[in-house]
Amino acid sequence: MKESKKIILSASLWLIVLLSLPILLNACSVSETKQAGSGHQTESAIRLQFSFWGSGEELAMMRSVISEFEATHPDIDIIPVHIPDNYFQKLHILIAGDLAPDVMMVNSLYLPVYADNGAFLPLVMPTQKQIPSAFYPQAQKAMTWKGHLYALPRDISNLVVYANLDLLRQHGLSRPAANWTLVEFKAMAKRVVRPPSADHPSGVFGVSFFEKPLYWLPWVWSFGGDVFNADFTQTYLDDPKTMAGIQAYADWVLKDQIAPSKQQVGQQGMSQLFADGHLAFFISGRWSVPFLREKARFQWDVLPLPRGPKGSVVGIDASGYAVSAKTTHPDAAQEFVAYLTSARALTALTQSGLIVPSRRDLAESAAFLNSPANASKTLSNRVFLQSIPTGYPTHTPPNWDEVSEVLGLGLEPVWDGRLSAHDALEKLQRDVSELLPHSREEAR
Amino acid sequence: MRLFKTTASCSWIDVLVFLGPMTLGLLVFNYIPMLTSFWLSLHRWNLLGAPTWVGLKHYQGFLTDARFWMTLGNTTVFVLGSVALEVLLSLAVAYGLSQLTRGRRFFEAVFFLPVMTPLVALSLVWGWMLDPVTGSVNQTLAMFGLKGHAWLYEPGWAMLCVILLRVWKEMGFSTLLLWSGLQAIPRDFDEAARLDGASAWQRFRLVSLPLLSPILFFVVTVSTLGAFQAFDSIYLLTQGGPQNSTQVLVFWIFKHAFSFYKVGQASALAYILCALLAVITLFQWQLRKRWVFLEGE
Repeated sequence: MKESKKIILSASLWLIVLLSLPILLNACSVSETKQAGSGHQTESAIRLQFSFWGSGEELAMMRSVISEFEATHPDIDIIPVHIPDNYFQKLHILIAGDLAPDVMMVNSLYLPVYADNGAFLPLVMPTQKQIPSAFYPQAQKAMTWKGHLYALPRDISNLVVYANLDLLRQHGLSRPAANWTLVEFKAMAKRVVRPPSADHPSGVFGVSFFEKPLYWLPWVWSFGGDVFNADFTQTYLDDPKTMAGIQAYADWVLKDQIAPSKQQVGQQGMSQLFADGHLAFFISGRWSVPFLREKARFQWDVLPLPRGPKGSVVGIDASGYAVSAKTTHPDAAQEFVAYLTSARALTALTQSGLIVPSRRDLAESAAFLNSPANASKTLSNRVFLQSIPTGYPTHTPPNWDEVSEVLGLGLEPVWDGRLSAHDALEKLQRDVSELLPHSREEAR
Repeated sequence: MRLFKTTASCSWIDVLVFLGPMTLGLLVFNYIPMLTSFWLSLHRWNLLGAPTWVGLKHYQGFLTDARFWMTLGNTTVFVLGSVALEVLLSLAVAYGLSQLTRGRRFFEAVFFLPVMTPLVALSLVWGWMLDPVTGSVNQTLAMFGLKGHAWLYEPGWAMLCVILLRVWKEMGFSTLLLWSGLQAIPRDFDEAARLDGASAWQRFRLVSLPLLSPILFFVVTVSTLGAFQAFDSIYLLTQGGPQNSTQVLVFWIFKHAFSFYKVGQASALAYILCALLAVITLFQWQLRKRWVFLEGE
């Protein structure tokens, strides 16, 4: 009996040791990797964690930028934290767990929640003197919260119309004029619509349709409406101009039948539909250029958004780099942010076709303006820049995720025709107002 | 008074070695988070600032929130639909398997295969199959001149699809349990009933089913608890849509915690779900005396 107990006890102890072994080995390998990765670093090197999103190609470009920075700053070691999916969900958890990276990539839609909760350091950059001339003021504004600049902008995200010029030509249509109107746009889109056939199982449609605020906001603005004011004390969803903009957008699917419903698209997605030649116009941002360069086998180009009653208005959002409020090396982190937004660091990303750079000098350079549609076709890159001066920043409250969810659910019956924009927005006016920060303060 | 006693052949060291690691694990990964979660359910917290005490406000808020009742309704439909279908189909398949003399192994493997397949892979495949444009389901229907649907984009159909996916995934395990239960029933009972002139249906209803009821009770309880906790398939197939028609409680908890960062409300919802599960399990436990063979004695 005693013998068997001994065997069980020793077996248990061995089991514990064996289970602990991988953890110990992993810990050793991590510390070895870090030492190996910073071969030129000294013992006292400053280590900065840097989080960012992006594809594999973007990761390779960022690694190269990091290497260049480390070469010129031997006392700083950058540890990349690449988060390709659900970036803000994971970043939020890192910040909550007191594990915030020293430098974080952020976009203007999510910046308010972190800036409002003190997660970012207001930037008092050594480079501040150069900011006004270097960056588009709209991009700087997008990275500002309550009067403080919290991130240096990397790029500007604005929408344009990608046009399948071959498809237009097949239907006897020429390239639209730069100042085209919404009426002209709809008429052209209607001309190409074809029912499903063997060649086009989904049919051919005039224009893409997305239900996210990013895609319907420009139409609300170009009808003179809005969602709320800049300090979120007023909601304008029940404004007749907002209702008209939303209804006009919904009618692309319901009345004009120039855009496919999500049921008609299924899992293939709008970008694939356009790349396959089943869409005449595809409304998207600069981020679609690398995909279309690779996939689209026809002549395509970009056009400005058509003019509504109040002109052609596009949302001007931005992505950039912020510094954690809890970093132990704020100067080094700001130095790195300044480098990340330098013309040198942004050139590769700009040439890849992925971004509209936030820097005027780079946007006006050959790196951006000569970026082609594909090997043989030119791209009207200046279109991306032309909408910047008249663009609207998308004001987002700190609880934007919740507000956009409520907006999305409330507008779902409008997109599928069960409710008019008027009826849906009257209800949404109340629901969204209750979610805004001032209502919450009053409710407390 | 000593709270715990050790026997002569078992020392404290033995107890520590055998119970220690598991107790530590349960404490760290279950009980402490559960207590913390309850504390959080009484606070407003977005994970960034400091939690603010709100007492029972979150619980009260849900009682008057139409979205909560809608989500609870969806959860009820999902649980009732999936458990009923799963149990009935598993029972039919298990009975069918028990009657087979040839090819049983093949059918066992066929019905158990989805259990072995990761739910993520199953959900992706189902998503492709149910695609309104390129999906094989609509294409097959079209071959017979039937009109398909946008299965995952229409509220009624979307709920049915996520229920069917769950049944497809889980029924293999329930079938295995029920089939084992049927194997354990002595053949004599069936033979005796057959000699008395009982039909196949009568033998199943009056002989096999009562003797199988302890296993059936286990299957119903486990599948009910599992269905209440369903998340992955809904996350991957519908994201709770269209029009919130497939939004169930666990998915709503996830959204509160990791989309809206309302950790207090997510914790309160988790406790409501916990209470609901406790009540339902207690109810099932009481009911067993009525319909589980020998339990009433």
